[in-house]
Amino acid sequence: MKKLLVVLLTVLFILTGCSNGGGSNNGEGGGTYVYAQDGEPATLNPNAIGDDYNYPIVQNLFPRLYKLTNAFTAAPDLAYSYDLTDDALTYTFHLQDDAVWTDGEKVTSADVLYTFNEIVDKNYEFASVFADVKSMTAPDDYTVVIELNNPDGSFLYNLAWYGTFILPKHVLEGKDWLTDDFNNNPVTCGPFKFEEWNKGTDVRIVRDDNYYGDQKAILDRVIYVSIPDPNTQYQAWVNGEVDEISSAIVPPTELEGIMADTEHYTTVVQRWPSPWYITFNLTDGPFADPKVREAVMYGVDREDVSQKATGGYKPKIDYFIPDIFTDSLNDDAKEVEYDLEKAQALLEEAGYTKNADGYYFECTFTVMSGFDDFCKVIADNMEKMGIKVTLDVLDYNIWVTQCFDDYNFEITALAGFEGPDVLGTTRRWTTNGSVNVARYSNAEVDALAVKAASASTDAERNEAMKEIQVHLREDLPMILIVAYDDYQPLKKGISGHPYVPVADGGSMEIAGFSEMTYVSFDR
Amino acid sequence: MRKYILKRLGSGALVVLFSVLFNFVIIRLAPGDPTRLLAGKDNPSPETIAALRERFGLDKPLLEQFWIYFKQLLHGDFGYSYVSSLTVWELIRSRIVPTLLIAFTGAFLGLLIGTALGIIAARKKGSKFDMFMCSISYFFDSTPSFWLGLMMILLFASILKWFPTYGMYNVRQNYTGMAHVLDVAYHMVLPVTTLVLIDIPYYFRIARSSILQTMSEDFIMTLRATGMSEQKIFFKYVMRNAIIPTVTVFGITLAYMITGVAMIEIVFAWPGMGRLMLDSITKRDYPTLSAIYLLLSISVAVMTIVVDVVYAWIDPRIRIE
Repeated sequence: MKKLLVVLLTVLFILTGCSNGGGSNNGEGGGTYVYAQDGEPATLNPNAIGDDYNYPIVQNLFPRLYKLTNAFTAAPDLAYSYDLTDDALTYTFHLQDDAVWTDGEKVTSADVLYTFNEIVDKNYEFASVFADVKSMTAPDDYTVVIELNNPDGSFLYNLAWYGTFILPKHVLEGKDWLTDDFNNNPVTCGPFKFEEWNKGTDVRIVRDDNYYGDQKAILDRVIYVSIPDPNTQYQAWVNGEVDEISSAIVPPTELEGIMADTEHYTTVVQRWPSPWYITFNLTDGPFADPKVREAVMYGVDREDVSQKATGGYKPKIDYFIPDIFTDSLNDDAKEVEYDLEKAQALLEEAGYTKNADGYYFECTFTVMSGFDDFCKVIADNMEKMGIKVTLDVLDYNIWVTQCFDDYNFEITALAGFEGPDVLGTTRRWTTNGSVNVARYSNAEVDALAVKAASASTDAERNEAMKEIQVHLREDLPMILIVAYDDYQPLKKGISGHPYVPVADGGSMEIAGFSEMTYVSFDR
Repeated sequence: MRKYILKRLGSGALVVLFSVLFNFVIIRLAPGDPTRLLAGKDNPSPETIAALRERFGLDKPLLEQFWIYFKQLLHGDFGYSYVSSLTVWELIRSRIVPTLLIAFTGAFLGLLIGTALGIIAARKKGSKFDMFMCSISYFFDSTPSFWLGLMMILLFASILKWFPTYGMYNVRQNYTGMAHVLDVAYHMVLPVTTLVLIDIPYYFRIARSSILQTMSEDFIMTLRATGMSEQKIFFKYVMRNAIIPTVTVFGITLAYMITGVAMIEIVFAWPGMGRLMLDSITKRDYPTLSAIYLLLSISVAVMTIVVDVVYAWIDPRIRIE
């Protein structure tokens, strides 16, 4: 028995030594980088369905014509350059002629056309990118010509964003993208190639030495592990068992200490075009009255929400579009500063009087789970104005059915990416916008949005965007509350990260959002 | 005995059949739509949603959907998962072993230790040991498993660095063979210990109270009056009567084991059925959920029969009735 115990203890110590060593660069080569996510990808087909957990992975496995960077620019990828005709209608993409799939076949314009046509034919997630495409042709193996019906300033950005990765025609033609085994064991063409997927645990990719890019990946292997509990994920990162976690995982209470600990961490702060906002039912209930919406704009103290709900890490926003689009901001159509008296005066103008309990009226605030704290502080502000608020917290599925599909809410809150460029904001308030929860419809705004999209100069586009903000200020379909500042802590000793500007040793302007090509461990 | 078992099997089959229908309908009645999630959050297009609904047959009437599903099921086909490009069976197969590893080990150790402690406490009723065990069993009984799991991680992984924080194996090392087995065993320590600590109070209190109750029965007093040794009374007569509630609880625990120990699996990032089930609920993955519920109903039906048979074997009065 004693002997057995000694053996077991020895094994335990050996294993302890192996597992908690951290420092992933073991010996020769570029080392193994462990990247934690809170869920597992559904598929490794990058285009079929919306899958936040495969997005970081597929950016390292498949090329796009152009790729979106963390600087929100479109950088060359499979296409090394493009020409745009003067009427801004025809894009000619020039493809790399030395790109090969991992099975040895060459990547050609036929793959590009196959992929894009399949996305359109089967209405896959980003089919809308091609909604205004007149024709797609391939004059030769390494040229793709895309002709648009109308000029669209954001076409290239949307093409570079999500769901438009080039897939191998010779492998997938005639197959079902939703169920084919390709999704579990893909043929790829990227800085890394697929190695193994241990279901429920991890996805592994390894460096592809045949990658066509000038810069080959430095790391040997990247492992994407799935750790659903944020606390466990954070501890695993602190304990050195994973090298990177999402910024959303770091508890706000720990962030201050991490930012101060510059010896061990670098914290990258970046503002995203993804503000948190409230929006209303514009036809039914108390908020159908624009005066009431204006009262809410006056009566919700955005600074208070920023401090109480985000610890000040997400600062208040003053515009009707994300404030990183600086050239498009209209300083004459901003959100107003907090003014409680004015808010109450507006409610009285709207015909409300306080009841015996001191309330003008009651309402239900439909809350998407995850926005609980945010909505709670907004509700407290509304209570101060004299609006009695009941919070109704729903999980995303139910929220989306109830608010989005059934339009059954009075006031709700949401957020989400409004990029890649300023035209991405139009999804939120044009009549046919895909995320227009308020069902706001203003013919003038729609016309201006078309004008902005087809503008031939930046100045013209910005002018249209500024005019739109005048309408948004007047009609108030939504009120932006806080800007999305992302605090991403990185461990010291990691270089070339796509979140860090090139000038500071990163690869922000040249790599995709989560592309690991340039990432390395310092020796 | 055979008639008894056959009768139980028949009612078990009916329960399973009914639950297939019930689960199919109830899951689809829940608000939320799987295709909404699959269409993405940032740019969901109605065309994509319509295409997915058609692809999964969700545009057909509910009755027709059920008929298609039922025919599939008769061929032993659970269908494809909506969210993962695997058949439901492949998906479940990859999760069932990891789940049973920790759930069974945890429940078994919990049963052994809890029952043993319960027996000792019952035999030393009123002693310091008994009082200590009773109070500590209330503490662990009222502790939420995810909280206890996190505390275990903080203490043994983050502060003492004795055990790994998460997962089933060390992803940086590609252990094979015996080293892999030891690595998995090493990763099992914290989740299993958490489970055992949560399970012990159940078995402890059941064993303790049923032994105390049996010991106060008249026939025990009669046996004592005959001069039989305490040792013999206890092992031959008390134990046999007192073990029945423990068998029930353990049997039911085994039945539900197939759906895993969700909270523990989430906290320790263990790739088990509990996580799969919760993920499938969040994502409204109907085929996977239907299959999990079907397996659960089969498992409960089978284990109920097994428990009944074990009862009848332990206690002849039951099979005679």
